[in-house]
Amino acid sequence: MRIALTAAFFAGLIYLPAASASSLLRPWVGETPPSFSLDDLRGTPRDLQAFKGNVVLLHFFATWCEPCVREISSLRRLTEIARDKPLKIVAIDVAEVDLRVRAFFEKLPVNFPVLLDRDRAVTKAWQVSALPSTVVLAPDLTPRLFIEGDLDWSRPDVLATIATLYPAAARRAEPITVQTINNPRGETTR
Amino acid sequence: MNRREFIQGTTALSLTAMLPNAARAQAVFAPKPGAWRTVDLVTKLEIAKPDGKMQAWIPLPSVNETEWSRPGETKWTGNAAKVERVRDPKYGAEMLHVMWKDDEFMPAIEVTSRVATRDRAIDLSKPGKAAPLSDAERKLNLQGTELIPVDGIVKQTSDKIVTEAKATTDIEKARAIYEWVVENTVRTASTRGCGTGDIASMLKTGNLGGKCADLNALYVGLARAAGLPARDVYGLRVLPSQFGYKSLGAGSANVTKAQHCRAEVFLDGFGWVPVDPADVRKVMLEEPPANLPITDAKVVAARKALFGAWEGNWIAYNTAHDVALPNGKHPKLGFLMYPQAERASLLLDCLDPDNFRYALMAKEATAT
Repeated sequence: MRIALTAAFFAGLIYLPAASASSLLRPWVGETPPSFSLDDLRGTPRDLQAFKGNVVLLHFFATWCEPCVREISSLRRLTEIARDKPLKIVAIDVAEVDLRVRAFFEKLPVNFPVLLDRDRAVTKAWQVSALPSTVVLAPDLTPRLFIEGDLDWSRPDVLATIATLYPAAARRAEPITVQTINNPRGETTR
Repeated sequence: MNRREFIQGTTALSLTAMLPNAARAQAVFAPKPGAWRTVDLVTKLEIAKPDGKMQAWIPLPSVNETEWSRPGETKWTGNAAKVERVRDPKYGAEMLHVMWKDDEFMPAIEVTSRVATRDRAIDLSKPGKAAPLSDAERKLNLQGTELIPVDGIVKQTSDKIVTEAKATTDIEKARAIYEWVVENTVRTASTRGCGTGDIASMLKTGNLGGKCADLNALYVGLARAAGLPARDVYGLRVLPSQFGYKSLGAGSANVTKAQHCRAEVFLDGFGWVPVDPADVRKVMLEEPPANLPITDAKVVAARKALFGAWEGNWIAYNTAHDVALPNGKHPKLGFLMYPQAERASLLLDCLDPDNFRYALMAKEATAT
C-alpha cells in the first residue's frame, strides 16, 4: 500500500518507482562531463582516458545501498558474458571510507576496477544524484545511455543495446540470437 | 491498504479492545519536562594495528539548551601526544581532537562527558512567547547541505505535501510533513549505522527506507523546502525509556551502537519544536512483538507524541552538517555522530566499532 500511495502521490513528478527504473536505459542528454582520475582500492590513480576504445559502464554505487549490492553480481556476470568484447566496467564508490570499501570487496571480489570518489566531485560532475546510477559510454568516451536504479546487465535485451555501441568490427562478431525489449516472447530475431 | 495490512490492523484493534485497562494503559508515551537526569558518557577508543600518523575525533555533547540539554565537564585520560577540544566554526559542534606519536605502541584514550538532559514537550495548542530566531540562525537552518538539498525533487515533494494537506500555517505545514514522513517511509533493519541521509537520492529512487539519519533528514529537508527552519540533532540514546518502549531506549549501559538522530522545526511563538518521525517507524518495526501495524496503540501513542515532544533518555551531540575534521585531509562528513579515527592517513570505518575498537558506556549519575 505504501508503495502504491507513494507512486500515486508522485504522479506528475519525475519520480521513478524502483520497479520501473530497473528497466529503463535512457539516452544521455547534455554535454560530456569532464574526464577524471580517481584512486582505485590500492590507492593507484586510474584515468578514465585509459579505457578509451571500449564501451565503458561507469557505475556509481555505495556499499550501503542495497540495490547497488544486488547489482554487483549482474555486473560480474556481464564481464563474463562480454569477456571477448571491447567492454569495461568502471565502478565508482561514492563518498565512503576507503577501508570500508576495501573490506567489502575482500568479501565480494569483482573482476573490474573499483574507484573511490571520496568527495563526490566526480559524482556531481556526472550529474549523478541517486544510487545506483550507470552511464554507458561509447568507445570515444562520450556518454550515450544512462540509468538511475539497478538493472540486470546480463539480460539479452540489455546486452543487445550495449552491442550497438561496440566498434564496427566487434559488432560483426555479435551473436545473432538476442531477445529484445520489443520481443518479450524471446523469439529468435536477427 | 493491502489485505495483510488490513488483517494486521483489525487484529491489533480487536486485541486492543479485549485488553484489560491496565494493559491498554501501557500504550502511553507522553514525555513532559520534569526532573533533569545526569548521565556520564564514557567513550573508550583504541587504534588497532597502529601504523603511521594516528589521530581521532570524538564528538562531545555540545547542544546547550536551557530547557532540555546542559553539557557539563569533559575529562580524558590516555597516552595521546596532544588533545584539544575543538569547535566546528559553522554549527558549533564540539569534538575532542586527539593525536598520537607515530611510534605509539597502543594508542588509546578514554573520554568522560557529563551531560544533563530532560524530557521536552511543547504546548502546540497556542503560540507562546518563544524568542524569534536570529536572521543568521534562520538562514542557516533553511539552507541546503551536501546531502539535504532544498530545491529540485525535495522542493517539489514538499510543495505537493503542503498543497495536498491544504496546509497554510507553519504549524500545519510542519505537521503535514511529519505525517507524510511517518506514512511513506519505512525503517530498514539492514541499513548500516543510522543511514547516510542522502534525501534527494531517496526521493529520486523511491526507496524511502532507512534509519534515523535518513528519515529525519528527509523531514528536515522537506521542512526547509517549505520555508520552515529545521535541523537534525545528532545524539545517543543513553537510558531506557520510562514509558516502557524498548525500541526507544538504551537496552543496557553499553550504548556503542545506540546513536540516534532526532529533528527540530522552528515555529514562530513556539520556538524549536521536537519532531521524530523516524522513531515512529522504529516503534513499528522493533517494539515487541515487532512489525506492529500503524494502528497499534503503541504506535499511535508514539506518533501523537513525537510531533512536539521527545523523551530525555537521549543526549545531543550537535546539529552539524558537512563537518570537516580538523587536521585531517578527508572529505567533509555528512554529520558527526560516531567517533572517527585515522591510521596511516586512512579513516577507519566508524560503523565497525569492533575492528575500529571503540565503546560507549552510559551511566546515570544522579537524578535531580
